[in-house]
Amino acid sequence: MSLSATAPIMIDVRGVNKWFGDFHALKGVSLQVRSGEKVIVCGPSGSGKSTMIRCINRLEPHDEGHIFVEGIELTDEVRNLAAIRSEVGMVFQQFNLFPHMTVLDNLVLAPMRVRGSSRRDAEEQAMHYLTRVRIAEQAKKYPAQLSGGQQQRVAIARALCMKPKVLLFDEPTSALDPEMISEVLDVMVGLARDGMTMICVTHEMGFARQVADTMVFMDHGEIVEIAPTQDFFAAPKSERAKLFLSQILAH
Amino acid sequence: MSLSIRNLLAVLALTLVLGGCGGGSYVWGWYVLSPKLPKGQDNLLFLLSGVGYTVAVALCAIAISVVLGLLIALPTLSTNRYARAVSRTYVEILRSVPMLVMVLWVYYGLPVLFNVSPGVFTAGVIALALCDSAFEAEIFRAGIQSIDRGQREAADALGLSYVDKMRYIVLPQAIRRVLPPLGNQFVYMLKTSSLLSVIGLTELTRRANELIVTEYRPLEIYSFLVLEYLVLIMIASWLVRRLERRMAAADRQFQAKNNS
Amino acid sequence: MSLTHTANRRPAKARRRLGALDLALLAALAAVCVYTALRIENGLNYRWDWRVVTTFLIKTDPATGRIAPNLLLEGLFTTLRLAFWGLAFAALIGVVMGVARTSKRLLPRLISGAYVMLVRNIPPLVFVFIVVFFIGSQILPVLGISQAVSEASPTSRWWLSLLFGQPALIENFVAGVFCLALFSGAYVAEIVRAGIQSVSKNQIEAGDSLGLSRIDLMRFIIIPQALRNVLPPLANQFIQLIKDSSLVSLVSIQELTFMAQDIQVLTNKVFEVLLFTGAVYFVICYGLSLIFSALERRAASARR
Repeated sequence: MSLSATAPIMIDVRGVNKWFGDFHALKGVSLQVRSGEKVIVCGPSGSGKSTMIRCINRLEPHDEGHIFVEGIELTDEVRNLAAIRSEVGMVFQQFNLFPHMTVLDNLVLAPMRVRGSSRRDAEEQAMHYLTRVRIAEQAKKYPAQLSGGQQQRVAIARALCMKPKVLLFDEPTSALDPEMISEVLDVMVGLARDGMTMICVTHEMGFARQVADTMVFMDHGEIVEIAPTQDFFAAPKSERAKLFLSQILAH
Repeated sequence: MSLSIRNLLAVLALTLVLGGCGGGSYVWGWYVLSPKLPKGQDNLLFLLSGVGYTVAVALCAIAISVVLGLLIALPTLSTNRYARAVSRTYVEILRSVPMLVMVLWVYYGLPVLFNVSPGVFTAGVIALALCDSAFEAEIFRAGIQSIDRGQREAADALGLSYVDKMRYIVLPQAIRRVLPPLGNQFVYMLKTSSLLSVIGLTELTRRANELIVTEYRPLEIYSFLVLEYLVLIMIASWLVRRLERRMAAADRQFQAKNNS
Repeated sequence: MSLTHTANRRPAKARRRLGALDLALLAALAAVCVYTALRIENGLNYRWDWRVVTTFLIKTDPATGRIAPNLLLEGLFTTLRLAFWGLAFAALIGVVMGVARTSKRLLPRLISGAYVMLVRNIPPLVFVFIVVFFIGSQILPVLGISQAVSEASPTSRWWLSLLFGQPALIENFVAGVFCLALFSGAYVAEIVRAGIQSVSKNQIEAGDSLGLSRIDLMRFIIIPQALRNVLPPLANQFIQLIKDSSLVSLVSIQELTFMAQDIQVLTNKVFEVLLFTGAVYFVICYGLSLIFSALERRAASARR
């Protein structure tokens, strides 16, 4: 997977600090993601991976530093925020589908309310993406009637319906039963092939090797290492990354 | 059903106990309420004529207090400290003032304050609605907070506006959890509306007290009054329970797999 | 790539500033207050006179020249006495009835069930009328309380008036306490029942399998666990009882609300008296709820 070094920078995180009470969750985190780049973030639990990508969508406000998405800075300014959020899709660990709506309604809500699409266009597009995640026949069901893997694929389709320029994945397979993980990863590999810009927090190292351009290793709220995928897996520079990899690849 | 039978048993027991209170020598005077006598019929109709106001006051008050309660509950969930402080203050104050004091305050205070004299009905509805709105606000707050945080985050991540997020995502789910306690609050209003007899609203309790003055048969008339309320409240709580079951079933359907 | 950032302390938050929304909110609040004040001040020529409150709070006894509580303070004391005795008896009734509701035998369950259902399904005011009318005017005179009080020695009379208020009104007061206790008792019973039933069945089975007697089971297994679940709702019920005590003003028990209405009729000062009364209830109830939640927090942190 080749990545042009001249592609425009989509996301620019500069010296971000975040505290939860006295807990220093992010310590001077900086990261640039270019258009079309696939970044996998790994690290032990509690290392600030999820907090970082939640900051990029401003589900958590950061306390210091700057985050730019396509050159627009993330602030409390409502107009900026809405614009950025509709460009940045997010897939959650717990799917967070709306349980009182059918799959189809889950998908058309945001395009209709935020983008102002007509219901017909929104439904047409929704069916397109449902087909793409191979779940079109479930459109009229409620989320609770689907398996976890199916729900997560619906959640991915829901994010795609907003035609985002970047997709953030927050441990998308961690809440799934083992036999359902691959169906979700397959969909994500497909998205990566199509050139979607992605930042994904995951422990699935096989998947990372397959799709990632860049690996980011975090520990204790810091980015310890940023490296091209092959270099990272061949010879991680930091001791902590070595230890982490040996632990996670042991089984 | 067992509830209603137990209630009726209880009324029977109460009348017997209270009858015994008069040293066993109490001479019953059920003729005042006998449907066979013309006088008794008049009295019965007189007592029953209070039902209209009791129900109407409770309905009007709950309608207003639901709207008020929602308006007050929404700021308690915001991140704005001042908005939160204002609604907390409102809730804490109104929760701490006895309903009777509120009734008196509205009935005697408002005319002086705004130079309008509300009728007893209006004053009663305002007083009940104000007091109740604090409790409604707590119900709404609990209901909204019981919705998984991820739902709100998902709505945010999709870029939905605050109003859309509330309208399409949070409130439709919260309403299922909120309706049963709201129903109970309505039952509570039916009972509390008896306080308005103090300012002269001719609802059930007032009617009973008026009849006691003319007939001086408190035992019979109060027993009948209790019966009136029991029947009224039994009907209301039966409706609430039906609602509760339906909501619980719907909730189960939606939550079934999400929690597993 | 990561910057070496050594700041370990959280920076002062910029968001503490007042935003536009905050200012609008505060302005709206201020506007409401000013408008109300102006209406009272100018539009209606209502003359505020807070001395009504102070004069009716404390008086100087003309005979001895000493300071003595006046109507409002007397009323407040009566409210507190009502609350105290009401709570004590409500707890007694509530525990007995609550335990009876979880009994294995039918009769106690039926009696307590009927009691709870009845009280919870009739309006509090109607309940007050009935209890005070029957107990107050039928049973109490038979017991001869007034007579006993009037024959009591001066020392015991002093104690009686401290605990129950004016000796002349003692019968009336007892009826009020009865009323509140019977009423609150039903709610306490429900709380106790819920508390007992909240203890998981496994705990009871574990106790049974150890061969504990029913008393020991209650004492060592159920009550300690139930107590934790029961205390917060009990605290709320206590606050509710103080508010409910205003109802007995309608049957001429001279507590705070009764006195307030009396003074309002006497002086025609609606706002001062009723606002003051409302404020007193607020201070008592809110104060108690603060104390209770502080206790709860302390208990919770002690458990950890």
